[in-house]
Amino acid sequence: MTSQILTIAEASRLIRDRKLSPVELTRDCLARIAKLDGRLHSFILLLADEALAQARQAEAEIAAGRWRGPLHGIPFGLKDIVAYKGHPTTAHSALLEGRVSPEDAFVTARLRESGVVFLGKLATWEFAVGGPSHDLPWPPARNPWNTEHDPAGSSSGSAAAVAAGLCLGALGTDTGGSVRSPASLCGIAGHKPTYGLVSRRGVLPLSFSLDHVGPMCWTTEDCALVLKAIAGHDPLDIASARTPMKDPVAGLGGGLKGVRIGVIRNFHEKDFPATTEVVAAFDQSIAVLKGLGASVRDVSLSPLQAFQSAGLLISRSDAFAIHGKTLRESPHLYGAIGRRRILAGAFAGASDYVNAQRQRVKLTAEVANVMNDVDILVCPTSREAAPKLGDYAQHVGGNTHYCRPFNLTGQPALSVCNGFSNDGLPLSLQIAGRHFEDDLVLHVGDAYEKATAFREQRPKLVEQRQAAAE
Amino acid sequence: MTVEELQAQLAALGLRLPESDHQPLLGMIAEIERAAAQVRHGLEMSDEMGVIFATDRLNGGAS
Repeated sequence: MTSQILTIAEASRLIRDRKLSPVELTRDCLARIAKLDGRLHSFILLLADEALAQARQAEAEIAAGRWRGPLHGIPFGLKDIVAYKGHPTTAHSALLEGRVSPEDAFVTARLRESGVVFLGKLATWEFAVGGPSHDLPWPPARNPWNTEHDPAGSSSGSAAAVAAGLCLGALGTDTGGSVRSPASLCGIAGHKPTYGLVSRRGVLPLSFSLDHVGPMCWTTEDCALVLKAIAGHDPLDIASARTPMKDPVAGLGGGLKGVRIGVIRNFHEKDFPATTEVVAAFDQSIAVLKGLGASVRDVSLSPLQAFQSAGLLISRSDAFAIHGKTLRESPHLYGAIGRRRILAGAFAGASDYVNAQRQRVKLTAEVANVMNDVDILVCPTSREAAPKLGDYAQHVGGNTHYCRPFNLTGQPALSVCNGFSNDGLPLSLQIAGRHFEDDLVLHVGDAYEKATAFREQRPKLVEQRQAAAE
Repeated sequence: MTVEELQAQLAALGLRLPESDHQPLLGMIAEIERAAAQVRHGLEMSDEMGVIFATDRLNGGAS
């Protein structure tokens, strides 16, 4: 058994060089799941036998000289709104319990072609909107850094599983921060790609023009490896972009000389103030970026509330359009939080939706104008470290508030760990770029991670288990 | 909006909910209404009333 939790990049090199077996790596993850997931609840469907069979197949292929690439033999998880052929995709809801997906989602098929080992389906907020609920068929996921605390969502299980080393990578989705917010609170890297870069076919929708599928991994480098595998035009997804992506992996490495960074201060200093710990970590991050050679200047955007209001109206209206029929027929099959949040969309008027889209156009143009003079925007991902799990009503909106602008504009945005609170909970930095410049965003995140030591620290829960195993 | 008004609107929409949903839903509806007011305010304050509505996003097209 491996004595440390590897990243995808590390495991991939060892697997390619036949110094590590995918079977051994998968057994390692399964052992960690057996030991820890009773407390974390990150998996709602574990496919141990199937995963081991896939791992043995990967091992055989690699031994025969047919290495498919860096994801070959890598244990991976799928948020349970992403279809996996022949298995249930439940959205963590009683409404879909047992409903088997007849086909892979586009992203699942891409990962399958890459040789990933699918460990199973990961916990999510109900239909990616419902919040951590205790009235669903499965319990909510918990934060590995402190299991009394919220991992955020909606890609809660994906973030928790990656942080705890239960899988080496996962897919999440992001409509209003649902990749970046849990990545932030669980201390991992989470990337929301440019809108349209990654197909949403086979992913249960929440909001047609705000949904994104993105990688969630321990490092930015790993996110780049996964993004390279899953991005690309899908003629069957009407929103799929034809613009080719620059290789996000080839762009990694090196400093930030020549990169112009715009620091958004009004979000966290004025509009929705962050805690002093978040501010301190953020200011320290700016110093690191400067040290890497980037030029840094402050920029100002419209108040956060402008982005939040437009995004809320659009997402809730879309959600009710999707769920209205089933809410009328089977409201009892939804959890209370999800039911209420979706139902609120019934009370947004048509003209409110139109105006929200008009405001969206304005805000997108404003940000694009600001980005004529900078290449990257930075701000904190979340206003505070992870709150306690029961404090949903008070905290849940706050932890996504710095994320939503980039769902509205469709720009790529990445969250990376930039420190820890006094209580040992992760803090984070958000890095956003221009449309289809995901490679630059990931380059900046990768450079930042490699210039800091935060990737060396895993949750104590995991380190205690590793020590016991040794 | 009162609980009675909410119940009437839910009935008109063909929705039947447990009573325990009513107060929390009123709070969420208030949030929607604040957002709608903010968006209307933002557009009224703008000189750009000719901003073109992005039909590509409505139809799901990528920018």
